[in-house]
Amino acid sequence: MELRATALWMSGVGPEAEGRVEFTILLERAISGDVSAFEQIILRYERRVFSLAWRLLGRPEDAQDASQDVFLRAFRYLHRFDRRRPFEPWLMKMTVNVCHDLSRKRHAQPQDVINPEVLRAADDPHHELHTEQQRTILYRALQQLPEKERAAVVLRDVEGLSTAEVAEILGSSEATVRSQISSARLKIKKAVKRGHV
Amino acid sequence: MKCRYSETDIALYVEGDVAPAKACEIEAHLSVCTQCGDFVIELRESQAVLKTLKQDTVSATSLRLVRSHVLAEIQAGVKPLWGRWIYALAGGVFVAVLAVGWVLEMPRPQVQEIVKSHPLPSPAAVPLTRGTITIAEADAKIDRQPLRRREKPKIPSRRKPEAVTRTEVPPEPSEPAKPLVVKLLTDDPSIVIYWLIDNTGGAL
Repeated sequence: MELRATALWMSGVGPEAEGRVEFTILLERAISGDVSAFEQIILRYERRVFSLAWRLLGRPEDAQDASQDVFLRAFRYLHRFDRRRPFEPWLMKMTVNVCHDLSRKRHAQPQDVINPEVLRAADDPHHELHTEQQRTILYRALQQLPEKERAAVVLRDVEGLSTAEVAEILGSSEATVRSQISSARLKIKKAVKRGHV
Repeated sequence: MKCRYSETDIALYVEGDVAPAKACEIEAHLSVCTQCGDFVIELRESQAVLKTLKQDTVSATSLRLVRSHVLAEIQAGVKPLWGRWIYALAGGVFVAVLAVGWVLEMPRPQVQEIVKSHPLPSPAAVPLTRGTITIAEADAKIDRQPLRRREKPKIPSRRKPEAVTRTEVPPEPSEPAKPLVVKLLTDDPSIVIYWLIDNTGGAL
């Protein structure tokens, strides 16, 4: 540990790089079968994975199943992960694939897209009716989009990834992603206008 | 008025997904086109609503539930290191036993001995019967003979060539033999077919 700290100090790297080194060590331990190390990884990414799955699938129950599947798959295929690349896009890609499999398996239509037990606004504890209506309309609009368009617009506009990152996750070209997100934005605009939000 | 820019272009422009040069052009167009300007305002509003999804948070209970399920499944699936070795060893032994059994069951190729022997004698020439034979007589002969099972032709053994003596081999006919005449009688007594066959069995 001291040796590593010295090396980091000598190379003049910041806390971000140090965090990256710590994560790499965590990853190595998880690959070698250390469950507690993998638990740390879950804690770091569970919220991101769950919320992405939920936005893609539209139902919190499905998102819960998908999240479990994502982490189990991640543990199984952790040894295949290229350690020179960032971990988060790899996990996001896995989440998109799991959600795709799950939605194909269930062919489920969104029913209760808003579940107060699972979801609540972080900043607003009062749950205004207007906000809930907005979200209901939005989730319905998202579920009506084609799967690729939904994934593209959620990753780009909600998750805040760049077009290049979205393209890599979806395995498409940047031009295709741009076409998908523009189409999705126009459809969402129509849905929001129809809903008188 | 027909605008130069499509809705798709504007949908990309509102989130900065177009090249800077094109963005400048669209901005210039928006300052003069109220229709496109209104469209941009509506799009920005719907995009703002879409981005409110970022504020949603997942409850800690749901996350804890997912985590506990995942860890329980992983711990149930992870075997200790020695356990993995035992399975690997058992698998190896099983494969080895199968391989040995297969080798033992495999038929061994028969190695034939090469025996130096005298050259084979030439086949005995059977003198052909001369004369005529009618089909009716031949049928009668066949009818009298009892049915017998067909026997496999015996192949002369190469190991005992001395069993066949050269004295038994009849000398080859030096003079040309007379052809064999086969007379075939038909239902019509006025039609008789004669078949001339030479010594080699070929028709003349």
